[in-house]
Amino acid sequence: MNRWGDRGYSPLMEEEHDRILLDRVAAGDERAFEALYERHATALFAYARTLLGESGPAEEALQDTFVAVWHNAAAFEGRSAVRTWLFGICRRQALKRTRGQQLRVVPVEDAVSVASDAPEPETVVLARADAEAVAAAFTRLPAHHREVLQLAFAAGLPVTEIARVLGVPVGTVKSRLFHARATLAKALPTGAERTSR
Amino acid sequence: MSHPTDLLAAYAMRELPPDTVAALERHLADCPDCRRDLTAWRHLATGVQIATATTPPPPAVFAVIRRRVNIAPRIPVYAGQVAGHPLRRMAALLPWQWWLVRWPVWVTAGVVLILGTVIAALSPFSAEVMAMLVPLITAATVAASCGADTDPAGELTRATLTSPRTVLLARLTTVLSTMTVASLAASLALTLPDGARDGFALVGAWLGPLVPLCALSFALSVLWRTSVGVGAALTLWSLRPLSGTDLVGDWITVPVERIWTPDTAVILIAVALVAASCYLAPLRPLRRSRSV
Repeated sequence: MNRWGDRGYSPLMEEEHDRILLDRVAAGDERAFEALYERHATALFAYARTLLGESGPAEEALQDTFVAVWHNAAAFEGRSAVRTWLFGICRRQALKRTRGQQLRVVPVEDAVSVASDAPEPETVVLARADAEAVAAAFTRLPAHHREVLQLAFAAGLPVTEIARVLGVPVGTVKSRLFHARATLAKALPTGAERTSR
Repeated sequence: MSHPTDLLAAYAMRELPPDTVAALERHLADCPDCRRDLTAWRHLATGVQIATATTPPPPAVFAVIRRRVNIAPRIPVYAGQVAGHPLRRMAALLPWQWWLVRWPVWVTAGVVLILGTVIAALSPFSAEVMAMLVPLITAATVAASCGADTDPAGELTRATLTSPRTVLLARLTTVLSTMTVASLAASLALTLPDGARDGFALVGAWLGPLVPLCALSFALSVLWRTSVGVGAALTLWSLRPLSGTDLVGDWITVPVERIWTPDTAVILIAVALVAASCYLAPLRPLRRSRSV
């Protein structure tokens, strides 16, 4: 279910609404600024947390993002969706906070090595896994895998927009999605492990 | 169609065009491997959504953003319609004042007015009796209903959007109107049966002193205490029979007579006194009702 699925609005309507709000923000409309924040802050906050690992730095990145939006709304050229533009700014602000170091990467080598003995193909493991196990495995993924999965399945961005946010070709995004899935599947407990617990 | 592996992720993300979706779903119906692959993507999507589900950022975050971009905190402004047309507001305000006056005040005023009318009917000096009674009853009723220390809804009305001055003026208007109509009815009852009494003279006898006496009791009860307003009206009332006699000097007789037979200047002073009291009333500290 993407972010529009429950509300019955089309992505085009959402984008139109965002553009209207951003135009008003560019004209100094404080209410529009607040409305834009209310529409996207939760998703951006979750994204920043995925990138930074903790709430405190994520809140600061969110602040930096919207301060940048207020000052640069007029510079939006419409080459991407407003939501994509916001995620791009959020990403830059979050990465500034990790300057000099990589995105926080939680080691998964142990989990992968255990799962690598599993005889089942990754799709079979994933198709049989329950959602909680998938969620737990997601948190153990490297940050760049978590990022692409979150943008695709939590933020609901299309592959082309994810490519813009990450600054990589569309093919790279698709490739990362497959790699992320494979890594996550390997981190899942196999059927034998589940029954032994 | 060969296995459309590269389309399944986009299908799970709901970003495929309808014609591609139709073709893919036809393939899925016959291909258990692709169905399993799609299930894997969907499980992945659900797991990611669970893992990244988060609460909104704390409200303090936006407050900091506001401060950083120099947006002053927005003060909520009531944007609804506060009331309707002024005439409609007045029409709604006046009858409610009737209910905000304590019922013993109305009962006492009614009983004394009826008794006074009976005495006036039995007396050959009915105009004098009415001139003595009606202003006193009305002034006492005004003091008892408008006094700051006898208003049970005073605190509540101060908290409403309507100005306390408007409420006070509406209260005075309601009480004066009620008492005047009742006194006119009493005068009519005295005049009609035999036609011996001059109705206009009868009404003129009590209507003249009613204005300054009520203004005085209103001012004192609103700005000081109800008891002071009633006491002032009662004092003037008791001085009236004594004026012109040897018991009191001219310094008392002259003002009392001017009040009882007011000219234009006295009426204007009375109106000014009421206006000043209405203006000053909200400025004085709210005094807790003694009965509470």
